[in-house]
Amino acid sequence: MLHLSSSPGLFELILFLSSVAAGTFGALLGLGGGVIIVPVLTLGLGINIRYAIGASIVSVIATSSGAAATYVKDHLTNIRVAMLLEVATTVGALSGAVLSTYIPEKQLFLVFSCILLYSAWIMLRKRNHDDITPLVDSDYWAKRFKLNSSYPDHAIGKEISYAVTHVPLGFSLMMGAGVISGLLGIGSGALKVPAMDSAMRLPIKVSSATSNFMIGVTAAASAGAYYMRGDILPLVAAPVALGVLLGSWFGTKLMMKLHSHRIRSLFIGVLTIIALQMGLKALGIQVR
Amino acid sequence: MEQPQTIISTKPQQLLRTELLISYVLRIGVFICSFVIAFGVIITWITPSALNQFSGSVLPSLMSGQSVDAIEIPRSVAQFKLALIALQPNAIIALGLLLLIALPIIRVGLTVFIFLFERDYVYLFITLFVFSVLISGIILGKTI
Repeated sequence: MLHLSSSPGLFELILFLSSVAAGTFGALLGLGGGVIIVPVLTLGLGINIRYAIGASIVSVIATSSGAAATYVKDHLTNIRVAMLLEVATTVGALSGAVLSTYIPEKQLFLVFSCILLYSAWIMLRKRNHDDITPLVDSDYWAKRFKLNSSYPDHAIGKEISYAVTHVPLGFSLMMGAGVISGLLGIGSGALKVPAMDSAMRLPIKVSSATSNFMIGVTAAASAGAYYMRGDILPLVAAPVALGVLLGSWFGTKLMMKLHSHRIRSLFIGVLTIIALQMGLKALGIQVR
Repeated sequence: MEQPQTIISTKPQQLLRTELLISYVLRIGVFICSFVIAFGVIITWITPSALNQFSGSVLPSLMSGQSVDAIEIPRSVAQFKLALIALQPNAIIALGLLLLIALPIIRVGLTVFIFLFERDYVYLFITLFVFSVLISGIILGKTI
């Protein structure tokens, strides 16, 4: 670990490779990649948490834009659901950023951790119907806002139609997700996917692709502030950005090939890991 | 294992075309950002002073968990102009990163126009609202 500080090339390479992994998982699961990036930077390379969060924000935006380019073209993303819910997430994120001066972080990490564990539990219970999504009755709001749609599932070779339901609930959840990620600066994807999947009954691939589309917007809203504060260091953020962009491309290819239930299982696993990371932070076990 | 087949979509034509346009713009944006950032990294490597500063003073502090406020990043248009003309690698990378950050915002702006052309006024309003919240966030952010 100590020789690294005199080999910038190796430093950049490690950052790049970790970011490729982060981008791959992020794009596949609708997350931003912070779950890999933050520990690698803080625990692995000893970097101060502020730069890790700055890098994480870059990672989220890179995953979002990189994956969205493919998912939108592949007709996986539900743009209307994304835009409608972005009303909630952006307002939430802005409120969260404003409130962040007043609310202590430790409690937040604990709350976040509990929410994630609960979400993982809910998603686990829902496991059995993935490859054939039963046509749920869409609610009034879904029809009014034209949210119902279909997507091509290449793993099973069919176009799957789906209906959207519980829109008001989904909207409120998104508002909460926005506030929490505005307060902490990370983690919106981990809350968005369960909200769409479990509450609104979108197929997992659509939830992931749509979450990818949305997280970039939430992150971009606060990225400007982080840049001005100097938390986004060029020589840290550069390999992260490039690695994540490459990784997200791999992730989109994987999305095509994997069956929905595998993606769901992987997501539940990663969600649990994030919950544990957050729990540790809440208990004050310092990451650095 | 199934081969990727051509799956016939039941979605309306208009929505499909919209999706292709957004995808295309994002793809181009991602390529431009990647080139600019990569160019900045290459310049860092071939500029001895920049490289030495990085490995000599910045990296050791960085890896021991300290703040490295010595790094100068351009914070205004004027600073950017000067730095870019001098081919300062940090500025080039920063430019690429800011472009990356701008991409989701550009995408929302583009979606506003798409809904305008499709005369979908409900979503036009929704997207405009999101866009304005985004812009307020950026303006507020500058004052933090």
